[in-house]
Amino acid sequence: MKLDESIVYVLDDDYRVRESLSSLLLSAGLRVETFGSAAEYLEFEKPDLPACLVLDLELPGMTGLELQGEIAGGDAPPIVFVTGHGDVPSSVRAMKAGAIEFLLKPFDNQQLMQAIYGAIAQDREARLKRAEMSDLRRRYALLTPREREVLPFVVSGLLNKQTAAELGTSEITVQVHRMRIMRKMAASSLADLVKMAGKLGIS
Amino acid sequence: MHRLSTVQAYALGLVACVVAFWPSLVLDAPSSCFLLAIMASSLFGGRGPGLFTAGLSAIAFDFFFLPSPLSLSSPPSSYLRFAVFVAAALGTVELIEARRRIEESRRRSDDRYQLVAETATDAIISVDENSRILMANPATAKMFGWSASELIGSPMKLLLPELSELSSRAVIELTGIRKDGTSFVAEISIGTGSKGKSNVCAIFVRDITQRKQIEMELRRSESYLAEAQARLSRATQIATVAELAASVAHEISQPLSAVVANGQACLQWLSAEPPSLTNARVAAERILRDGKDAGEVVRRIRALFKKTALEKSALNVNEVIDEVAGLIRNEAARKQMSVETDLARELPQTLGDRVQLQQVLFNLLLNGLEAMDSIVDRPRTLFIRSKLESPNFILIEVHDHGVGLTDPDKVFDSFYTTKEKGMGMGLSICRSVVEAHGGRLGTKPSQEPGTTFFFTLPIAANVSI
Repeated sequence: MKLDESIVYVLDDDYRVRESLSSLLLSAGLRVETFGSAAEYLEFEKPDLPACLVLDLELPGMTGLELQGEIAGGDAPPIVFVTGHGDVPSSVRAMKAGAIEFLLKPFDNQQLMQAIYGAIAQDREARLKRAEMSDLRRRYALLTPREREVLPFVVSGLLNKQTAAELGTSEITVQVHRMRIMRKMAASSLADLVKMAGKLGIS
Repeated sequence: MHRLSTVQAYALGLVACVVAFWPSLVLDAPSSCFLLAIMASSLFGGRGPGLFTAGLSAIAFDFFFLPSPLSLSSPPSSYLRFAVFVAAALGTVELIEARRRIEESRRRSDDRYQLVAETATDAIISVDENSRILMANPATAKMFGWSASELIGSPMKLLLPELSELSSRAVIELTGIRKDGTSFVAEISIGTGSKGKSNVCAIFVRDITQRKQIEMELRRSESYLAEAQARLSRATQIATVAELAASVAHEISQPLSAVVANGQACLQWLSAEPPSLTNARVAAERILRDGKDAGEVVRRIRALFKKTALEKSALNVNEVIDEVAGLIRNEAARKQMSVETDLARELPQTLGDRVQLQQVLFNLLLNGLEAMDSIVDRPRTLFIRSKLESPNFILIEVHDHGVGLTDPDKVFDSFYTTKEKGMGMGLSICRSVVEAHGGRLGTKPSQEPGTTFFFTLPIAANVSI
């Protein structure tokens, strides 16, 4: 994942809106992909980049709100809704379902750009977090069953001798497990390991 | 004549016979005396008592005045006398009875006529050939304020100064003058006839002031109704505006958003390092295009909702269809429906109010789209066709593939609606608009599913401006 790059998906059934938004975002130096329907968007192979989806509320076939529900969870980009109708109930629904912004056409460019930048920043953050977590999990998966048994005692601050007593083994063995854990988890210090364990939900 | 009871009548018959007996003996004139008794009995008692008296008289005559009562030895002349007497007696009874009947029936018919005249609410006045009043019924007195006795002998002009000749048989309206000088609207009809030597007329007068008033009120309420209808039609226009407001806002906001975004993009392309003139030009061209789009939408909407009276001008029906179809296409696309047209080329022009015809078509198209809302198993296509129906009329058809009509005759009634939020005015107004143009609006049966509405418009050459 390249953190300095980003992409904006524009999903609107009106070609004029697609064209103009594409031009506007390109001129602002953003990468843009446009789609005329939800199906096109879902089929598209999305690059692993911080992204934002500018989504029209009224679409032929699957509506914007339906698409939002469909892609909720997972690693879908944050959504900025744009609409020509803009009734209160659907805006409330959209915002409750986690939309970044709900803009009425004709919208203010600056507001739109702000929303898009905000969405991209949020997605970048989320992606970083997700990447970090998957990295941690990958490393945790490297531990042997015995090492996973030892880990909670280590991070809860017990001395090797105490841990050995608890597990009914020798202090030397515990020390070896501990060294291996530190290496496999790529922890620079005990404090670092404690933090990682916290993120993984181990205490 | 005072009528006697049956018993009294027969008693009278007996008494008359007995009374006649005495002078018969004294004067020896039995025939005349008994006939007198029979006459009196018939006259006052009727046919039955008359015959009764005749019987008694015949017996008395036979016993007392013929030589040997009813014996075979009597001379033939006495039989003849007896027979003549009986014939005269029966003849008298029957004659008197016949006359009584004639009088009775005349009295009854007089009674009936009198009843009619006296209970009539119309004034009935009979006048002689000099227009002098011969008779007036009670309604006349009530209507004009004069008593019947005051009226008899007065000239007819007293009541109806405008009445000139009495020969007219038609119903006419004149001013009636009451005794107190006030006037009222009178409806007059005159019947003429002759009675004996002189010509008489019956004049029937009806006070129609109230009816006139009701008629005037009716006319006033009719014009009020027309006004209300006009207002209602305007209200429906507004309702249509409200229904369509969302769609219209969408239609305008699409090109406008594009204009704004393109404008911003254009500026950004120009201020880039180095500036991208190609991209800026493309953006500027799109601004022009989309700006015109938005302007077009506004122009169409303005044309659609302008408040005008019927302003007829020569126009091309196909242009009207194109304009309205253009407006409806966006709405149709939003509902994933399509609008197709099949317009006859080189149609003659019609004479009509463009805005109102747009309204009619708009209504029909919108109904068509709504009818297809729930359809999923067949193409949702709205079909508009124009063609020359006959040398004088252009036909416009709108066919949808929707749910169809359950009651095609009712849809044109005011306040009949199949829509949840409908007022039921759309089609009835459409029909009045089309009819105001000299055309017809209706539905057509069709083999395909859905509904076909059609309307006709006369071609311009056949309409006088």
